[in-house]
Amino acid sequence: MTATEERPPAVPARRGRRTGRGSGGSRLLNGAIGLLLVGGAIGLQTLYLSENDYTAPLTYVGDKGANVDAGRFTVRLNSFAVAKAIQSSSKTMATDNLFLIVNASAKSSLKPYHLGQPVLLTGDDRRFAATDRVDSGSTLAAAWVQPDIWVSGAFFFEVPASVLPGARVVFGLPPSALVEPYRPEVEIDLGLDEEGARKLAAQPQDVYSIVKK
Amino acid sequence: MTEPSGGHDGPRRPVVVPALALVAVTIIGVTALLGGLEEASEAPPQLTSGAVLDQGLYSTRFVESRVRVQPAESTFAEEKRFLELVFDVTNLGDETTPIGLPPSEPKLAATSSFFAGSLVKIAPTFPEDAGPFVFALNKDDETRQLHPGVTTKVIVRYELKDTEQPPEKVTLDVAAFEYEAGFQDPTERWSMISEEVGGELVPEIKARVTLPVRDGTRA
Repeated sequence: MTATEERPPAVPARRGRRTGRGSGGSRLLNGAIGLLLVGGAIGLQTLYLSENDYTAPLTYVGDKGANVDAGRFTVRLNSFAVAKAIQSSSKTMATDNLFLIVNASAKSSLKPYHLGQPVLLTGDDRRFAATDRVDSGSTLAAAWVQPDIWVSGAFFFEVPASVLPGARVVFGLPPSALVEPYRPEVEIDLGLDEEGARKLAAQPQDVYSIVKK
Repeated sequence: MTEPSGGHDGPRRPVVVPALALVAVTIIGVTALLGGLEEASEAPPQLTSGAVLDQGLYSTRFVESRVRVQPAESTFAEEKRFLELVFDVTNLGDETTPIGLPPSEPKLAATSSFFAGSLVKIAPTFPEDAGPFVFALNKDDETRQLHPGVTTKVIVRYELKDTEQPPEKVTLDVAAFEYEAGFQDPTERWSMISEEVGGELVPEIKARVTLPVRDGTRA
């Protein structure tokens, strides 16, 4: 009672119209809410996407052996192997690194597509394009991917053995002249840890043949 | 505290401020006399065979320049002679890049972000039908890719006519790359370090490389 009697003469003089709202409790609350809003705003800044992230494709992630549906097409990574050389009908190509041969199957949803050459995404996010030493006509990229008809084929990478742990293969559509935001892509983890990668790289095939019989 | 010491600080302050001003003016004056903060336009460093140049996206060793005779492929074909420029190129970037082609004219160079595009000027010039042919050798097999973290032997070559003598040396003006947002498009990517001069982008020459031509056939 005494407090309400004493305040009115003092408060109007200092704070004008905000009479009665400036009690100690609500000032603390306002401060806390302010801090929360500032904190939230600063927190949101960490979610800020760079221009490169904005323009990146939409990635559908899956595991080896599973059908990964990217809307327009579905990809399954069946198996992979490494080799020291690849034999085509005209020559045998050797390498100081390793050839990684990825066997995949694909189908589409509504209309026929070609797949583009895939990219090998390493554990430290470097991107290896599929090798151009193997003619793309010998890869799955040459086949039409049609609705509900699975086609299978191989893709070829040439990579140092050191990038195999944590590597993922990213399948997408071939590059087009038309700029299209959020094109779908499928990212499939090879499931190789340090140990698995070392074992795989220690026993490469001598020659992997792509000659059609 | 400030009240009692005010008597001492009072006369000292007018000394400190002009002294600072004088120092600042001197620094600005000296900087201006030395040509301002703009980078001094020096002649690019001269390099020769065996030198290594950091081009930002690539670390490049200029191995040599040589004359290579390619034997006839069949009894009807003739042997061919090529002037070859040999580079060991390590891709320091995060993704595979194509080798590209040297620019047909130096003023078109700045648009390229590929290795061969950084060979802004190759002197002497060769006729248009002589090349350049650009490829990389991987175990005697041709490729046109530079994979990240991998060193690749890149060859730029020109075909020499029957009686044409190769030049004694080849001089290359080499540019470099930087990772930044584009001129009009905010996406970040590798592009050639260049300046706008009179409405045209002119690549900045990082080094001038002179390669004496090794000619085994001439001896």
